[in-house]
Amino acid sequence: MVKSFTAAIILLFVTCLPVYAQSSILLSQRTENGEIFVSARLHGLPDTFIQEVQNGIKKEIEYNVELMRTWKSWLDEYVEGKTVIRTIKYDVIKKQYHLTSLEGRYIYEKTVKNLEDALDWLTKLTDIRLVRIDGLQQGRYYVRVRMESRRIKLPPLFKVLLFFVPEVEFSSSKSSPVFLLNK
Amino acid sequence: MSRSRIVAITLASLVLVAVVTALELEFLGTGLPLLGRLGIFVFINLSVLALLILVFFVGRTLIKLYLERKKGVSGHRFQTKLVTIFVLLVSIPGIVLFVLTSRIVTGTIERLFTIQSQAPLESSVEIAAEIYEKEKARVLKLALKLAKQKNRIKQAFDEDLTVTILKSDSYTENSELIKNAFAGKPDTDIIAENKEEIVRAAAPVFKEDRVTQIVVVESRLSSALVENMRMVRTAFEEYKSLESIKTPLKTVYFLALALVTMFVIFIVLWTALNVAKGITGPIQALAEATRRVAEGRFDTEIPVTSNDEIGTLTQAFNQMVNELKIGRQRLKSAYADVDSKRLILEGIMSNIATGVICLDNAGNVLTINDAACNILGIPQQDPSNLTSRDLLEHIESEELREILRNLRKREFSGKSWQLKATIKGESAILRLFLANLKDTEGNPTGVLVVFDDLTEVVKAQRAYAWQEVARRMTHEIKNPLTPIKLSAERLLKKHREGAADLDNVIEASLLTITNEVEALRSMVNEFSRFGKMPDLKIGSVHIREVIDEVSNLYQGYKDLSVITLVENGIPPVRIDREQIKRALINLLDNAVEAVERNGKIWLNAHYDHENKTLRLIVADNGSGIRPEDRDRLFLPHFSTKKSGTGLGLAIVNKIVSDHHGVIHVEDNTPAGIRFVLELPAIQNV
Repeated sequence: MVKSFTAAIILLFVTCLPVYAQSSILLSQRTENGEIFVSARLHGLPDTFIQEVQNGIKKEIEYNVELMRTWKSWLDEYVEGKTVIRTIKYDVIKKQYHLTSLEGRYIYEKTVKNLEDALDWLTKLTDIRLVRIDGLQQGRYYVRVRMESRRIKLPPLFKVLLFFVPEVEFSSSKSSPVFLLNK
Repeated sequence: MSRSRIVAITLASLVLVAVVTALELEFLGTGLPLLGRLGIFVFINLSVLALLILVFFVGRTLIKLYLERKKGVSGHRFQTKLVTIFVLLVSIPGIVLFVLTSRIVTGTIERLFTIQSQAPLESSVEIAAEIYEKEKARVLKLALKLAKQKNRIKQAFDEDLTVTILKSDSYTENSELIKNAFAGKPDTDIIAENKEEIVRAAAPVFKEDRVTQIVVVESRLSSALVENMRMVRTAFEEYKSLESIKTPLKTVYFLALALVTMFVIFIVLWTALNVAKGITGPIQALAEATRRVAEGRFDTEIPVTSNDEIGTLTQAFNQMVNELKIGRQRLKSAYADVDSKRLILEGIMSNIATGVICLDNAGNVLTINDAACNILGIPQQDPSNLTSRDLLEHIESEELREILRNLRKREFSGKSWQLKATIKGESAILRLFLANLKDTEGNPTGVLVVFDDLTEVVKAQRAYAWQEVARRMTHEIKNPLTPIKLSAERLLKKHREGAADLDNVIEASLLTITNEVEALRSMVNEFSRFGKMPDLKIGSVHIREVIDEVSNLYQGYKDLSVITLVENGIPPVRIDREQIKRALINLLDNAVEAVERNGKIWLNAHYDHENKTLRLIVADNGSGIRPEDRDRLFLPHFSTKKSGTGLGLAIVNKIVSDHHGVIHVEDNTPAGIRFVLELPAIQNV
């Protein structure tokens, strides 16, 4: 019985472990008109994720685009950040994907019929206006993009029972090379 | 529980709670609402704490049981057996139930997500999708048809559809459908409106290869149909959601079952341990208390905690210990009392001049006092090394040997003898008293020997007796000398005076002198006879004959009756017939003189078959004797009579002593005195 219990615990942990290895982020940044724009693209969505999307399970990916300042003898400092939350929900009957994007106070909605279009929209951030350079001090900075995929909804009872099943299905993070900001 | 222990446990619990909280928060993530997380957090903590507390108590009890088993504390075997039985009784069905239930649950979950199970749902979804597709195709077909016809609107109303013509410069909607249509690409979409849905199709109207208008055809789906579609969709999505968590779901059931099983087993284990402890605890307490009582700690008391048989046993034990305690106190007190008395007795024994010896049945000396050692001339030593044989080696006495020979042949109870002995080459006179020692059931346990060295006493008595004899002799001699002297002086005076009655005086004086000289001669003869007692002539004698002869001598007396009583069956005894007869006559003479009118004298003979002793009793109803005269009664020349020589009873005493017997005097009831002569029936003189 002890062996069975140990096996169950190991299985539980293995099941609940986030899938970090499969996904990665391509990150690019540019400065234009005194502002930093960030673009990012998430690669390597797990098959299970896509399968669950096609089964009508609503998914959410949260992108945190952050400007970080590095210090020689201290922890990196958070300077500014933007959060973009993208959701995807496939209507198995209407055969169309309902997409939303929450960027600050604005919500954008979109319905597409093609999976590729939907995933492309879900995984791509284009020219996110991060911060104006005017307000920044001189120093060494870098841009970091963190993403987390969340399971949106579980039936109420199972949500309690499966408290140990993390809402975050997988996550990834990517930092840009450090750049020097001279004024 | 000590304070430091409580603090340690509290700290450990807090650390545990902190660790568990951290783990739980990690697991719970941040997606759950606060209330839900709080509830789950409390639930998990309580469950974990309950399980840990249970594990702690069970573990502690098991460790204690193991240590008790190692130390061999009583009751551990029973506890181990009971716990093992309980655990086996619960574990085996518990584990079987756990395995079966987990298999059933996982099987059920697996079956829930088989193709067969999800086929109806998928079919429902396909049907619903088909409805939408057909409606889309229908409105699209109509839109395309209308785009090619001139009379578009009329026809559209006929088909119960809504047709709208949008011009390229007048539309406001910015949907993909409209955009695509104006781009020359017919398209369809579905939009929601309240509880209904509208299936739309847009087809471009070309004029000279340019899209100038688009035809939008709308078909409204009923709210009931839309609701049914929604339900199908929701069911399918929830089913798929559950399918995605199939493995964690199985794990949850598995864990829940495992936890419940563990809970049950631990609770049973704990219960078993407590039950076992509840049974063996009082027994252990009893065993421990018994051990303490065995060590002499009688202040032991076990608290009575129940009213069952164990409680009754505990009460009985406490009562028994209390009684033991009281008994021991009494015993101590009695021992102290006895010891005190023993010390007093030892003090007395050490200080008295009488020798005391206790012998057991085997003749070993149990006790011998200092006086006994002194009399026997042996060094004072541990009596455990002495036997009666050792003691007898110090005494040379034929009389003693004769006594001991006779003692071996019969039982005796309190007898005394006076005997001559030679101790360390010196003559001694001993008065010996022997008595049987018996236990409470009458079984002989030994012999008590008490003896006095009467040598000096006898010497003193003899000296005193001779002094008395001298005094009485002087007195007796003086008495006749006075009349002789007076007669001689009167005779001399008459002779000098030449008295006329000289002849009469001579005759009277000579007569007086002659009488007094005769009295003197008689007294000297009597004394001479006392000093020259004849040797004993022992023979086998029927005592009845002797009694009859003596009593016949006194039959002619006036106002005197001699009553004889001779017990039947007295065997012939070995005595000197004449001496005993003389002794009896002396005693009867004294009795005759003691009684007055209607005097009675009893002469009795008894035989003690047990001690083989002849007992002769001469009693009278005379005036008796004064107590202060009794001790001197048997001394020579002691007499209470004016005319007596005082040798009669001395002679009787001498005769009895020569027969190794004893004589004593006692009061007769209701008047007079009685002399008792005890003579051994078998003489070896």
